[in-house]
Amino acid sequence: MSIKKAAPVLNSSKEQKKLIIILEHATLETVKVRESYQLLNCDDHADILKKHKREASEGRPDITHQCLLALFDSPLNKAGMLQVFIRTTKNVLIEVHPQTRIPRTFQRFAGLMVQLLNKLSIRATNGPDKLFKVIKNPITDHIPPGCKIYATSFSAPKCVDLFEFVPEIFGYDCLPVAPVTAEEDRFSDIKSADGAIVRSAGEGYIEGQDKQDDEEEESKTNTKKDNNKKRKDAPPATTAIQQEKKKVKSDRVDPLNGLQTVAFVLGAMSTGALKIEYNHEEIAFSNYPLSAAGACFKLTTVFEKQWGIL
Amino acid sequence: MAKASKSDLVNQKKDKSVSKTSAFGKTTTAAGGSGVKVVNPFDRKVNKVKHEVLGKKIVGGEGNRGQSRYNAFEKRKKTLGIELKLQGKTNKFVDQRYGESDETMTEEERMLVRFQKEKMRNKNQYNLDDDAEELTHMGQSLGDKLIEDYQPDSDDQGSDDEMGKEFLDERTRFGGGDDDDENRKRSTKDIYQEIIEKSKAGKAERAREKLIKERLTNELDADFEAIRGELVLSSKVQATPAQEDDEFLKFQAEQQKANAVNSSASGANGVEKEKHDDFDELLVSLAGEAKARATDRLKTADEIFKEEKEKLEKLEQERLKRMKGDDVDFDDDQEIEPDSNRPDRLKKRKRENDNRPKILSADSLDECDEILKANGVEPAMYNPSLSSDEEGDDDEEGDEDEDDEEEEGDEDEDEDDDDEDEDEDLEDDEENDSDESEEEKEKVIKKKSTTTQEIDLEIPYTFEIPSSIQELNEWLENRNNEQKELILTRIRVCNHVSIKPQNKEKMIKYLPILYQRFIETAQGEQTQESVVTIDWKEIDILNRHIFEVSQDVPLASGSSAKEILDRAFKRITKKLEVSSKVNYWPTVDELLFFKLLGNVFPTSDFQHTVLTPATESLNLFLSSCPLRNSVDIVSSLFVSNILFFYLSSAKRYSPEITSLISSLLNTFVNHNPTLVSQPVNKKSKSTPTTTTSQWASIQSNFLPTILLPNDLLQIQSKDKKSPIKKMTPSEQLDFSILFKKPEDTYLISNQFKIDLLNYLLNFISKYIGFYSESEFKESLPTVFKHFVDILGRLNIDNDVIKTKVKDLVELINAKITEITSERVPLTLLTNRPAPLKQFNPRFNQVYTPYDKDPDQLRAEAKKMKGLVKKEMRGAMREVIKDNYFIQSEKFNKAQMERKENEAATKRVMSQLQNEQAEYKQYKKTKDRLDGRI
Repeated sequence: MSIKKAAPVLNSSKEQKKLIIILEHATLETVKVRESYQLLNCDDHADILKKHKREASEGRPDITHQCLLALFDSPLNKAGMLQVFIRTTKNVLIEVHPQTRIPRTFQRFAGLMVQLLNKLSIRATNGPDKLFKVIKNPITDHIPPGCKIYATSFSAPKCVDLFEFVPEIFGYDCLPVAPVTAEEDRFSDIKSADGAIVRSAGEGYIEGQDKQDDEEEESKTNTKKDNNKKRKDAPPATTAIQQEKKKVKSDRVDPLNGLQTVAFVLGAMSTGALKIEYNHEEIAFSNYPLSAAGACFKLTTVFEKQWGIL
Repeated sequence: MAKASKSDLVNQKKDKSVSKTSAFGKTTTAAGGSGVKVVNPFDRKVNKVKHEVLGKKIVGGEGNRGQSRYNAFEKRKKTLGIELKLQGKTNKFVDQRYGESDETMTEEERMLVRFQKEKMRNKNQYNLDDDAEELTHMGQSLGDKLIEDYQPDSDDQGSDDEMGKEFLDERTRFGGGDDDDENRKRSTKDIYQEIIEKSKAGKAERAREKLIKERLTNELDADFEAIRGELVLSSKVQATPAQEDDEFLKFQAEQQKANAVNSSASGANGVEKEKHDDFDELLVSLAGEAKARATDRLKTADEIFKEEKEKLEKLEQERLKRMKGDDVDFDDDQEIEPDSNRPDRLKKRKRENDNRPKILSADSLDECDEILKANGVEPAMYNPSLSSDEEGDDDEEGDEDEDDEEEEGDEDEDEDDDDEDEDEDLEDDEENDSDESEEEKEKVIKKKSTTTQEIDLEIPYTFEIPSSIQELNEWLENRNNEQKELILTRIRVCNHVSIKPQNKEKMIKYLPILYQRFIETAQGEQTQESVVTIDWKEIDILNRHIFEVSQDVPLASGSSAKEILDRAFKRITKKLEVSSKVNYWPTVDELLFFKLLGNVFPTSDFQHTVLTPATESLNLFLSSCPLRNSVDIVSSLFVSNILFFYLSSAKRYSPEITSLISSLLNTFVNHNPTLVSQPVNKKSKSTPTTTTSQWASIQSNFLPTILLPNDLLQIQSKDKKSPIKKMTPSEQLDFSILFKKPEDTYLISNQFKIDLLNYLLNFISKYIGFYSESEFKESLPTVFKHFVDILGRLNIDNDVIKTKVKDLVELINAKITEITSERVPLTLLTNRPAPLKQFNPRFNQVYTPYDKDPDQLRAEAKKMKGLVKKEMRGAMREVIKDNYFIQSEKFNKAQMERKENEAATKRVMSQLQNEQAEYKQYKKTKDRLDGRI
């Protein structure tokens, strides 16, 4: 795994807050109709699908379009905390620049995708950056090392409440979150009414926790000491209860490996389950099968809440 | 090895598909068709497609390399190989054996064909009987067979023939051909005859229709007559129908006879004419009758009200617009050329309105003098352009005015006001003088009235415009108010603008005279040594008239009013400049004039030619005219009242009024110290404590212009006769106070002070009421908070005043709480996080893989170039392969030759060796036999 390959946006520090969303099984495929190339679409190319003995569910690029609209219109993206990858059924991996304005109409989106699949990159009209880029598989080369990947699926055995799950993986209880502003330091000294430290979502909870798990298991006392050492700079005025809390928290295994980045895999297909190998864990976050766009919306909403983006 | 195997495979295939001609064709079909095709994996060629596209045909995606190589080799063998064989050979062996080139034939078939051919050739060659050649078809003799078989079939016998027969028959039967000729030969005479006949028939038809129409109209006429019931139908008209019929029949007969048409037609016309005479008469008579015209429907009361309401609403909207300072079309109904000084500025502003901020900054130089000039005068502080002559004039004017004032000052109390009467009873011995004077005055008035009655001459009904003020004064002299009003009304009516357009000019001249008259009336008449009477009724009348005339000539009214305003303003500013010690405040007539302006012109306008300067000058007076005595206080209150009247309609705010009333109230407080602090003050009046109090007073918004002597407003409780506690303040201040001298007894009395205070309190409550409704009410709590303090320190031992103060404090507090409760707390302005800038992707709506060149020629050239390149490459490849082939062929051939040579030499050598061996053997045996060995 070479760092060179990784997307430049994700090369920054560990404290970089980022939600990575991977749209898996996106059915983006070109089709040649007479002289023109079009995006395979079950409405317009029903006969072609039939001729090639393909199913209608294999021509649903509108799902991807809806997902992208939902994702790129979210405040999370506007705040620059979202990174989107698309992986098609044909194994084409696409990186989408966060500053992209997704075409609003499906027709335009289809045109864009056809050009992307043919030319392998799309530039901006008013900027030098490549907004869409076909990148090399596998996806794990492009997400930061150590980043936790959650696959989401309705059929997953574990169904979680995202509003609890997300703070949990970030190491907090459900938080009162102060809004994000330009200056990060503003919230460092915010305290709640009962004296407990209210953490801004910007702070990593466990500092220096990227140690090996077995090390922790070796001696819990040691780690405690370590943690206490590391928390020297923290305000000394702490009650016993607080210390208790901290201890409880510090025992916890950090699921994100000390990163502020987490990746979610969503299936942008109409039917079927995700067939991927690179995920670490599979979760469901609704008891009902959600549409891909709906899932995107829900996920971004939760992370906006988590990071205090209004 | 590989080659051999390949060729084996090919041979197998060849056997399977024998029908195909070329080896190439065979192999391809075999490759496509049979599923069990075994291709050496080393020979298989696959072009992998990275991104599969549905519907895209891929050429050469897969292939068998060995097969294609073999195909190419075979092809070359047939073409290039043969050429190579024949290279350098002049004659050529052509195999013309039957069936030799046809591969589909088996050997047996070939032999059979050859045999047949041979047989036939032989037969023909030696058949001497048949000299004449026989035509054959399909190997059969045409001569015998075809003629026998021929049967004419039904299709060949077309219907044409039958038709033709018929045609011929017809022809032959009648031997015709003459009919056409006759038609052609028809004479022009006949043609014309026909045309004439047709036209005649048409005419007859028309005449008939005409007659019918006529009869119908006649019937209608008859009906109409019957309905009218007035005119008896003439016998002539009744007789018409029968006549008509006769006429018509006759006419027809004539037509049939084909007589001359003209005569009959003219006859018919004549009859018509006769008949029409009657109708025409009737028509004329009917046309002459008076017709009722449609008029506008009478409007119902509701509609009238509605119209009136709409009109008023429109006017109100315009007023509000002007109040806000929007541009209203000023000249919408005014034909006069616009005011001399206004329009330029206005136009300029209109022009510059778009890009210039409405609020002028303090730094903007070019607008500065404009603001000052808006008052209609040069700024008071510095005017070097003022020439000496003008100054002199001004001085003179000023002097005159001062004189007037002094006179006014000398004049005593005037009891013309009605309100004063109520107060009189309450006033004490001081008023005795005034009573006397009143009596005197009444006498005078009586005298006056008698004189007027005597003079009561008949008033002429028509008036011209007075040429000067003197003339008007003459006219109005010794008339009572009714008569004055009558005269003024008549002047106005006789010269009303709507009568003649020239009257406008007259009115423009008349208006300044009216103003002059107003001012003179307002200056009052000095009936006695010390009494100045103002004819209030006349002022009322003049007020009304000026207003009405101004409605007709608004611009002229504005300019003349402004002149007077200018004069007053210049006078006062001049005084302020030289800081004279006489009265600064506007004189009585000026005050009344200001009041008049408020009545005549709309006070609510955002900007007005007259009222804006008037308001500004009033503000200036309030802020900069010094207050020195009680008269000044009263006039300042009057000024502020007028200003309040100006501002109240548009709900504007004047800080000058606020500061004035605040400081006046403060003065009251300072002059009447509280009981606690009283002893201190009493002990040391001129000690530093006063300075502290002064400091205190300065802190509490003391106007710097208040230069009142200490204790001027102190209400002394020493006077036992009239205890302050029981004193009832009068509801209003008397206007006549303005004519009094500061040393007047009333002005020194406690009563006046109580009155003043009472008035002040009333004014404050009124002012607050107005202020809290204006749009500037947000500032009210801050401005009026200290009023509560001042009122709290006010220590006047009077019941009425106390209750008033209490009410006022309550009112202020209520307003303050009301307004502060509406306030929204300030929120910290947090800067929003800047969102990521978004970029639009650059793509074509319809994707085409090739960049199309818009230049057709160039595109074509490019395409051809590419094609040429491709072909060239292909050709080169072919040439290379050909060379390989040739080389290999040549090599093979050389190999063969060498082998043959070798074989031949071997054979020869072996033969020779054999011979030699035999020879040697022979020799050996011979030697042995000979016995040489």
